[in-house]
Amino acid sequence: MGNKRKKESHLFMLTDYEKEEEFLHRRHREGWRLLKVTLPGFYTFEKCEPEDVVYRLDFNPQNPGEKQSYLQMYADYGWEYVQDMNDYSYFRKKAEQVEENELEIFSDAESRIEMLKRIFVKRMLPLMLIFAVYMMTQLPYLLFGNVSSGVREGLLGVMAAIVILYVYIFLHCGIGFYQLKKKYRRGKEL
Amino acid sequence: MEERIKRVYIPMTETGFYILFCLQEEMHGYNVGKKVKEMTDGEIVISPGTMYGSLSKMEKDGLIEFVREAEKRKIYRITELGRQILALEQKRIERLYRNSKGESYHGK
Repeated sequence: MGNKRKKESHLFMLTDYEKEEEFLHRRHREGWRLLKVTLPGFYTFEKCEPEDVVYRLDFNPQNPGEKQSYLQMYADYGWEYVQDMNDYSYFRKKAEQVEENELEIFSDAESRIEMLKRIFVKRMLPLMLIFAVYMMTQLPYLLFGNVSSGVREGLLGVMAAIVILYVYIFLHCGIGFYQLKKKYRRGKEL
Repeated sequence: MEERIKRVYIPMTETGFYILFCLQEEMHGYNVGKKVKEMTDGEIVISPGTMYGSLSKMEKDGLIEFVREAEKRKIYRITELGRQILALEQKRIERLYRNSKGESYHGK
């Protein structure tokens, strides 16, 4: 214990991992070191000396048997493992006297795009599937089912809210996937 | 050799080539990275995420195989299929190199 702590919440979506890395980097430079993430978007920081420490997030869910060698590889490269949250692994490294290319966890465009694909298949597709199932089971019931008009309106209201939320998430992440992919491709050509 | 494997690995990325080349000797990922750095005068750095992903993919495609684990590190080596791919790639690069020098070279 001893050191002063603070909690902070900040929501980052699936495709905002680079923003999250920068957020954690900024906090560390301000003298707040990431202690833990309790839920996606809920951070606990601990007071520390302000330092230039970069944070990197990798999304690469493995079988439990693979985890040790995966973490050992990062440790060999000088990355401190903080924890996993929602299948994202959090790593950090002191930037002082370290060459820039050693402050990245990916060294080519292909592997960055591979990570995007993993996020898409393992996170985005299930979200879309849940949404599709929800709509297919609820909509016919609401439109043609035998429910009183008061209940119907209430449920339609709930559905409208969910649809708006989902549309927002899909648009945000859709644009995010597109922009990241474009950025990684461009990096490759330079 | 499967056409799919050829399509995916030829031509190979520089990262892929060096990993496969190094694994002619048994080695774990971090040592591959270190050796590549030495061979290229520090110019080619293979980061851990990229290394981990490349090794997993090559293992899945049968170009390399897991030998054993030593102090939590997975040691790999090239397979017969991997050697065939590497040989094809070496020939391609040699032709590219000779032709780039203006020497006539049609070797396959």
